[in-house]
Amino acid sequence: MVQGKNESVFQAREDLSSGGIIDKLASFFEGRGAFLFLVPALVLIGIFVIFPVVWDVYISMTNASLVGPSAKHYIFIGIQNYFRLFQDFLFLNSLKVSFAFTILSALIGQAILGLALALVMRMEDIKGKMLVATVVFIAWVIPEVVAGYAWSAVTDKQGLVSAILSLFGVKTEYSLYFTHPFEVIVVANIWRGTAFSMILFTAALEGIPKYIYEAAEVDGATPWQRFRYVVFPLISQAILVDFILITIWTFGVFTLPYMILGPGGGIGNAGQLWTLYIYFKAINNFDIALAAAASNVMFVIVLALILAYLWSMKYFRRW
Amino acid sequence: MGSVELKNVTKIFPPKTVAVNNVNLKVRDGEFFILLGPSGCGKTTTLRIIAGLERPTKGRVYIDNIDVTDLPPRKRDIAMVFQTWALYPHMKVYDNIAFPLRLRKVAKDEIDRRVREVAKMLQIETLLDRYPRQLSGGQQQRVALARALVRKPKVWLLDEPLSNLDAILRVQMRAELKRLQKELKITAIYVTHDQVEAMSMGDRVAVLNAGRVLQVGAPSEVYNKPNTLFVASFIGSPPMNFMHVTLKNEGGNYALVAEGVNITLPTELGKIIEEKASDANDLILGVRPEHLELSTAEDSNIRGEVYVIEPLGSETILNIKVGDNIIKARLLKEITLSIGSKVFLKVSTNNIHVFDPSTERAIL
Repeated sequence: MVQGKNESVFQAREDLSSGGIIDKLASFFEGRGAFLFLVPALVLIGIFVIFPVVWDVYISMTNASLVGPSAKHYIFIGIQNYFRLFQDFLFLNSLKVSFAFTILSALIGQAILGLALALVMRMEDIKGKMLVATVVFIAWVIPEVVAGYAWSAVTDKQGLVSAILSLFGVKTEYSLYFTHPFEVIVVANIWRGTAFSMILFTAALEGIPKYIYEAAEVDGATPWQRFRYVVFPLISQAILVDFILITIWTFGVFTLPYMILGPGGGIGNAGQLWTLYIYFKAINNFDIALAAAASNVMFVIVLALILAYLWSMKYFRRW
Repeated sequence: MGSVELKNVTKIFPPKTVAVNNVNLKVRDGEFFILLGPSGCGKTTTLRIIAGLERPTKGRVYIDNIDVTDLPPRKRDIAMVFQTWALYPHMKVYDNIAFPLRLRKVAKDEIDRRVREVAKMLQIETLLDRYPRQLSGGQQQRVALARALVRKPKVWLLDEPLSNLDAILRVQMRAELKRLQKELKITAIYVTHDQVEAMSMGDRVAVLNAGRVLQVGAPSEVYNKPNTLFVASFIGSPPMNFMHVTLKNEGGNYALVAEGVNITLPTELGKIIEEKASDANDLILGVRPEHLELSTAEDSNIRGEVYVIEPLGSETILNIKVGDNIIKARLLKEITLSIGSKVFLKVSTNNIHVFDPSTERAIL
């Protein structure tokens, strides 16, 4: 019965192909036809990735503005915007802030804390480690806007931090994000992004077989020596990957600092990251051409950093 | 110096897996001591307890009469060779071997001298500049041995170090390991499930099953005088033959009897069995295949018919159906018998083993 059914299906297929419909379709797709399948993706990438990049480069060489006459009739002015950019104190400041922010909150804060947490997670008989892990994950998964508001509230002069400080007799006259804008966004970003490094390092540590640790233990290594001479070299590549990713992400962080500090980056622009500067120039000052130039400079610098990481990668893992 | 003693050591893995059950062992200085047993018998856990990688739930561990139960591995002055060899993949062979010395801040010249010395001994001098992944299994194993030896530890712990090698290399390394251990006069505790390894390498063997030590003794002793059914069945290849028999006593003339079996016993042997057995009508007779020989009908005390013949070149394993049992006889002569033909066998009463099925312990 079943066999008969199968046979009839085969028969039908044969009829179709011998009828030539499938043959024709097949030969059509075999030549240029396969390209058709790529078209939807290419169109989307073209509209949303390639065009903006090209347009961005072009616009950075014009006198375009968001409003006013030059919003409609802008002219090509060469690389003048780039000269303006490097004469702009705010831009140089945002460069400095962004580098400091990335080094402190990502490379030092998230990576070291993430590694420490990953190591703790591997230890046996540590109580409450799952609770810590859960808290770290929550920080990572809640929406960035919500996190931003939460940090504003916590560091407000009537917020949690002030309340705790007042317990110790410290009176806070101003909100913390007002007096220490840079420090607040650094801490907030560590809080927010540590989970990623923790997961990455946990996976890397899981990749080291248990007997390697044990061999080091029997060979006479103290816990620190085991980390320094065995664990660290074996996860060095994961550390590099982590550095690449969190560098890219941290340079691009916008929502969290924006929610806490606004586009100005707090008092004295102390927390005005690059991204905030670009937003500030484009939306607040309508200077879209300068903002475009700034984002292109940012792109080149981040690209250079990534290439440096990748280049250094070949010095790791020679084994 | 390097003696090891375990006193009443028990290890329970939560919730209640008893891996090691009240083990008492004494390993003498300079001895090649084997922990032998099937997988899951607790031999590796016992070794790890000696190494300090596991803490015993109960009991104490002594190295050179010093209680080391609470000391971490690095303070016990032991070295271990893991089943997987556990070489550090990111270090070259030289650095792998030098690692234990570097941790102890030994002077550079001294490290170099000792690494080269041990590398020469194990014939891996030409490999010092390579990474572990560039080595064959046998070479990796030598590096692991070198790393364990370079420090001159008190005790050398080996956890099935040969099991990942191919058969030919295994036999070769077996002899080399033994020579090395004797040359260096180092105490070695060696875990294996391979009874051939145990017999050929060990000065003494401890047979473990289900977390307990069943018997400790020289290989010949464990082989010739197994104290339990388990030890008798585990040691020897092909394994010992077992048959249910009854003890007949006809006016002081004792015999072990079953279908196809009638072994006349000297009176004193018969008396011993009668005294010790909980039920003389239900005994287990054990005979090693190598102790069975072909004989004439009159001289024979076991008879049956040929079931299968396995010629192995230098010897022949004859499978014989005796009653309901198939027993194996290991014969050095060429066999002219054919399947189904009657066969008469003889075993000397010096070579029989009798066990009590209720206790599984040896009576004789």
